[in-house]
This record gives sequence, structure tokens and C-alpha cells, in this order.
Amino acid sequence: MSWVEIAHWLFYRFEWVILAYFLFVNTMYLVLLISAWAAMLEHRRVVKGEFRWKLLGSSQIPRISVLAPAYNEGATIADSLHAFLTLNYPNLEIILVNDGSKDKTMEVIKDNFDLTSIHPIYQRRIETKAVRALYASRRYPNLVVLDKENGGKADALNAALNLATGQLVCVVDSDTLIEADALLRMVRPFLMGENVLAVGGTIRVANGSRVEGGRVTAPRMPRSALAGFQVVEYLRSFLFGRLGWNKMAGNLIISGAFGLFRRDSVIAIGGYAHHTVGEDMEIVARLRRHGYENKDANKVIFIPDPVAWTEVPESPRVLARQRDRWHRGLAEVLWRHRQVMFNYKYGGLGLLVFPFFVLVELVAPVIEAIGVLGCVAGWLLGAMNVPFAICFFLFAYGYGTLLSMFVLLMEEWSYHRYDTLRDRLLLLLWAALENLGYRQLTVWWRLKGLAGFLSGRKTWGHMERKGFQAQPPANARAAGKLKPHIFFQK
Amino acid sequence: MGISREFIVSLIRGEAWVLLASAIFLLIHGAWIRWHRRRDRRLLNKAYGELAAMLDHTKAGEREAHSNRRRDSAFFRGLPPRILIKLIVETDRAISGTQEWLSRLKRETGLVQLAEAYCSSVFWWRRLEGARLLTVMDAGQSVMPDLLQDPHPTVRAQAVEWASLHPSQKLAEKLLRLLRDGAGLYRFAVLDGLTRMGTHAAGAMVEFLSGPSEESFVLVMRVASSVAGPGFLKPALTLSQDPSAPIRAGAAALLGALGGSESVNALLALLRDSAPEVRAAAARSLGKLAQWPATPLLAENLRDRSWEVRREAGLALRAVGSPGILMLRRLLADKDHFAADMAKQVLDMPTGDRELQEQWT
Repeated sequence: MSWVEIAHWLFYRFEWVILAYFLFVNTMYLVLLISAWAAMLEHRRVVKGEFRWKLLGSSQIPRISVLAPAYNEGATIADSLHAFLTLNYPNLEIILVNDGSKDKTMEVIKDNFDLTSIHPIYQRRIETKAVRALYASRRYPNLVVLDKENGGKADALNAALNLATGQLVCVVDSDTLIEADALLRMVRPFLMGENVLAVGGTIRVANGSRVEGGRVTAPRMPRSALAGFQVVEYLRSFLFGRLGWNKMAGNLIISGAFGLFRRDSVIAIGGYAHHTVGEDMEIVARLRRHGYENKDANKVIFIPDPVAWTEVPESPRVLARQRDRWHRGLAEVLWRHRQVMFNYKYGGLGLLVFPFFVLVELVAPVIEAIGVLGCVAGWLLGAMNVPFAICFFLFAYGYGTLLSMFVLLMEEWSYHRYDTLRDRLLLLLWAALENLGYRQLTVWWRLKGLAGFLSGRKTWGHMERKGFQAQPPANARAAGKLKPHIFFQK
Repeated sequence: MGISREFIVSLIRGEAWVLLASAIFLLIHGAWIRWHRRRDRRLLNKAYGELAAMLDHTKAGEREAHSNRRRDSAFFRGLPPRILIKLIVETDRAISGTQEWLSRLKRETGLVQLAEAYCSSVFWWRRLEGARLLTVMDAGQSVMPDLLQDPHPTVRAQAVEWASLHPSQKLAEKLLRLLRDGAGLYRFAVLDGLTRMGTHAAGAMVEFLSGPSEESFVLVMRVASSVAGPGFLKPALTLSQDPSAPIRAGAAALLGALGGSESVNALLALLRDSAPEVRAAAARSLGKLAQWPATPLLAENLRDRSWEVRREAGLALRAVGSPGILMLRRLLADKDHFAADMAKQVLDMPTGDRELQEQWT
């Protein structure tokens, strides 16, 4: 047999494996999509006409402690804290942890919030780096500031957990913009059911939106293509990926930027783990395992309603680092909890959720890369099966575009946050173009993350943030004052 | 086995059609929503205008007022239900003197009848919508109590909310029975409803707590602590001897809310309870009552092996005042390191900004 014939024979066998894999993945996605639509329909029916404001007068509502770690956030910390303090929730405490900042974070807080020293008697159930001082605000009695030695995000959260007095803890990033009534929505599953361990909310992309006083007042599509692709990605991930699991076996991830947990359960498992880059997924996995092993609460629910907004990277270099870290974190957590895989003791978590994350989320970039490289190699060697190549692209990318489109429909039907024609057209544009270049880039970054995990890399990398500023309205651009950016920014 | 050309073409065609249809729907839906919102805003503004004019008409003579009322009712009857509901919700609380007019409006526009019809639908979301409408309109006395037994928990929770706005002994008894019903998916709604009912629910709660003890007593005692009527003393004293530790702890909290010599005696006995949560609750209650005769016993509890008990005992000593502070100072030199450490922590708390310090203890 000649080389061409051997190559032909190999590709012919392997292409069916690739196609079968994508058929399996798309079937899973279809099931998730149907589940997500059913969950959204039920959710909309439950919240229609709901009088959430009545909870504001309830004395039975559980206390929520908002835990916000901060490191070198001097530029934005005052606005962030003011936004947290104006959340609509009747029984709220805010615990801001200054994790050994080297800038003027503590000075800014002292200047703006009239702090006084306090000496509460609390049990340090989780070991953390030394706490230097504790302060409460005279102006805002429900704000406490914990000043400690630097120990990383997990350490800061654990220190806040020790101090928290709420039955529930809401873990946020200090630069996350939370909508005013988000907590009233997030608390609902805890009020309605006792098996609920944690609730996650939707994170949306704030780039391009009008931000005033720590709130997104006018959601807008970002100007840059990279941020635009991420808007579609985030919508798909939250409104489809996470909502779909509600009805099937629960979620394995709650975003570290915005999640609500039972405090006692988090303390019972020893708080957040150090030495992992996927601490938000790791704690959910551990919580769920603990729930199953001790026949305790084990449901992790996702609520599409309450929204937090965050800034996404607009530079390919920063985005690459982020995606690399996310995939490394995913691999680390799945490896750390590998006993759960196909283990009937963990119910749906072991038999459905975990295998999905391993076989689809973790492995998909590898298979996809092989598929693409296989097509290229086949073309170079003259052994390319053209019908297979077309099918591959239709299954992998065409179907992906369809999924994005259905998610945009879901968003439009249920929330209609993007109000203008311009924004809806941009959404359609980025959904259509996402699979022509951007998706392949994310595959490459995720492969690097997987390689990083296999080589034992543990770094976080440096994330650059531009910060939120009041964005000009769209008509300023129409007046020619601003140039539209539709290409990748350097 | 290869992939046929026809299969590929049909796949491409199918995906392209779905994409196109989705894109068109997205754009059309957005435009429709904008038009719909503008229309609703116009109608609502007009309704407010009519309401204001109508309120002015009531100052006119009787005959003129009567003919104006007929015209106004016709206008409001022509409004879509969602606009009417919004008008009722926003007007009811914002503008005084409109209650009579609103009651008439709800009847004459058929909104109450519509909501009551929804409550007998086979679909839970319709029943929920009806229940919510009736709650807002403060109507539905004939149908809402039945929804307390609805198979769907969200509908039941809404019925509970309605019940809390119509407090009565009978409804309070029904709510308490709901607490027993298994899953407790709407347990918060029941507890919140009982709390809002306040003293109207006191009799029913006393009767409930006087029955055979069960798990839900802990929750009811929490509500009872906020009502704290004298009728709760007898069941609280009985429950302070209950075999279940959480119930004894709940009884300790309730006794702390009630006060009086009998409560104090029971709490002093509970300071020696076998369960740490009960000892901690008793210490907390004694601190709340500022019971200085309990100082020696509280000091003993500072040597407890449970951190929670030591903490509550220490704070209770501080709350008692001078005798407690004296005791804490004595304990600084105690041989028991736990007691000495807790005494130091309590005494270290600054006396300034008392309110803040108390909040953060």
C-alpha cells in the first residue's frame, strides 16, 4: 500500500469516530437545550407578577453575608462598596476583605466609610493568614472590613466565612456589578426548598454598557468583536448550559463572581481550597460530594433572573490567559474528584453531570482540534474526504451557531435586555461569526490549558481591567464622534 | 459507507432555514416589544388622567357624579387586564381616598371574577396568576382558603401570603397544619404569614404548641418569640423539658422573649442541660433579660467545653452589667484557660460605639 492509501484508510476509519463524537455531543446539547427551555418556561411562570418587594418587610428572611475579597482595588473599591450597600435586601451584611493590598485600598475605604475598630468574638473555624484588624462603619452599620495579610482569594474568602453571621453567604468579586434586587431573586430557592445547597446567578458582559453609581443602567453590546463574541458565549453558557442542568441533576459550577451558598455547609467542608485555579468549581464539587456522602442538602440550582455584570477581557492576550486558566481549573477539579465519575453513590452527579464535563467540556477541544487537523492533513495528502469535512463543519460549527441562535431567542423572549436594533443586529452578527475564527482560538487556548494541567502549571496570570466608566450613548457614535471598533483590539 | 450529497445539501438547507427564521423572529420580536411597551405606557398615562378627573368629579353634585361614574366605568372596562392591574397596584398604596373607588372598579371591570375563574384552572400557572391577582385586589375570600391545599407549592405559598393579609384564628390554624405537611416547600411562606398575622395567630400557636411535640415546633417557637404573648408561657415551660434538644433550645429562646420569674427559673435549669445548643440558648436569653442573680451560674458556663456556650455566657455576663463585669474580671485569673480567654475577649471589647459593638457580637 502506498502512503496515500494508508493515510486514506486511517482517515476513513477515524472520521467516523469524530463524527460519532460530535453527534453524541450535539445530542447532549439538544437535551440540555430542551431542558433549559422547559426550565425557563417554568421559571417565567413562577416569577410573573411576583411581589418580591414584600420580602423586604419579612423578619423570617435568612440573613445574607456578602463576602467581597479585594486586592489592589483602590481605584474602584468605594463605588463597589456603595453598590453593595444599596442592594435591596432586608437582612444584609457586607464583609469586605482587604487581602494585604499594596495600594491605597484601605485608605480609600477608611476615608469613605468612617470606620471604627471592633473586636467581635468569633470562632476561626478555618485556618487563614493573620487578621490584622477588624472595622465596622459608623455610617453603614452592616458593613465590616477585615484587613489581613495577603493569602490569595481563597484565603480571603475563608477569613470572611469565619466572621460571617448570615445563614447564607454571597460570594462576589469586588468589581462585579450586582443588580439591586438580585439577592431577593437568588434567595427564593432557599425559601422554597430545603435540599438547596447553593444558587448561582447569571453573569452578563458589562463592556459597552452604561454604568452609573455601580449599576448597569443601560445594557449595550460592546464595540469590540472580542467582547461581542463573549457576550454570546456567556449567554450560551448561562441561559443554556447551566439552566439546562436544573432539571437534570444540578450544576457543577457556580461562578466565583456571583454565587449564594449555605454558610454552614461551606464551613463543614473546610471552606475554599488553596492551590487550585478553579476554586469556584472546586468548592461546588466538594459541597455536592459532601451532601451526597452525608445525606444532606446537595442541590445546586441556577437562577436565570438575577444578574451580575462583569468586565470581560478585550485583549486576545488577556483572554487567552483567562481561558487557559479556566480549562486548567476544570481539568484540576475533575481530576481531584475523579472518584465521582460513574459512581452510583453520587446519583445524577456521578452518572450524568461528571461524565458530561469530562467527555464533553474537557475533551471536546482535543477532538475538535484532531478533526480540524485531520481535514487539513487529509487535504495536504490528497486523502481528504470532502463530504466528511463538510459534515464535520456542519455538525461542529453549524450546530454551534444554531445553539447560539436558540439562546439568543431565549434571551429575547424572556428578558429582552438588548433593546435597540443595533444591539440585536450585533448579537446576530457575533453569533454567526463566532465559529469562524474565535471558536478555533478558544480551542487552542483550552488545549494550552489542558497541556498546562498535564505539566503541573499552577499560575493565575495577570488580568488587566479597564474599569467601568460611564459609556457614551449610541447616538454619539452616530454623530461621528466615535469610531466603531469591530475588529480585534491589540 | 459514504455520506451522500443529498444528505449534506438537506443538512445545509435545514440549518440555513432555522438560522434565518430565528434571526427574523429575533428582530420582529424586539420591534413588537418596543411597540407594546409604548402602547402600554400611553394607556396607563391615559388611565391615570381619567382617574384624576374622576376623583375631581366626586366633588361635583350627585346627579352629575352618577353619570360621570357610568362613563368612567366604561373607559376602565375597555382597558386590558394587565393595565388595570398595574393601575390598581400603583394607585392603591400611593393615593389615599381611592379605596371605595378601587373596590367598585375591581367589581365593575370583572377583574375579580376573572381572577377567581383563574383559580379553578387545571394549569398551576393560571391558578398562581389568579391567586396573585386576588392578593393584590384584596379579594377572593370564597376561593383563596381552598388554595391552601393546592397541589403546587408555589400556589400554596401565594395562598399563604393572602392569608397573612386576612389574619384570623381559623386561617392561622390552617397555616399551622400546613407546617406538618411533609416537604415544607413553602415553610418560609407559612412562618412569614404567621409573623405578619401577629397576635391574631397567637391563640392558634399556643394551641399548636400545647399538642404533642414535633419538629415544626422549633420554627413556630421562633415566630412565637416575636409575638411573645403571656399564653405561650405554659407550653414553653413544658417544652423546656422535651426530649429533643432543638425543641428545648427553641423553648429557651421563647422563655427569654417572655421574661418573668418562672421563665428565669426554667432558664437557670437549662444552663445545666446536656446539649450545648440548649445551654447556649439559655445563656443568651438570660443575658437578654439582664438577670444578674444568674451571674455565678453564667460564670460556670464560661468553663464549658463548647465554644458557643462560653461565648453566650460571656456576652450574657457583659449584658448583665456591673456584677457580670466583676465576674469576668475575676475569671481573667481563672485556672481554666478557656474561661480566662473568653473573659479577656469579652472585656477587650471597647465600650464606645456600643450599638455597633453589640451588633458585631
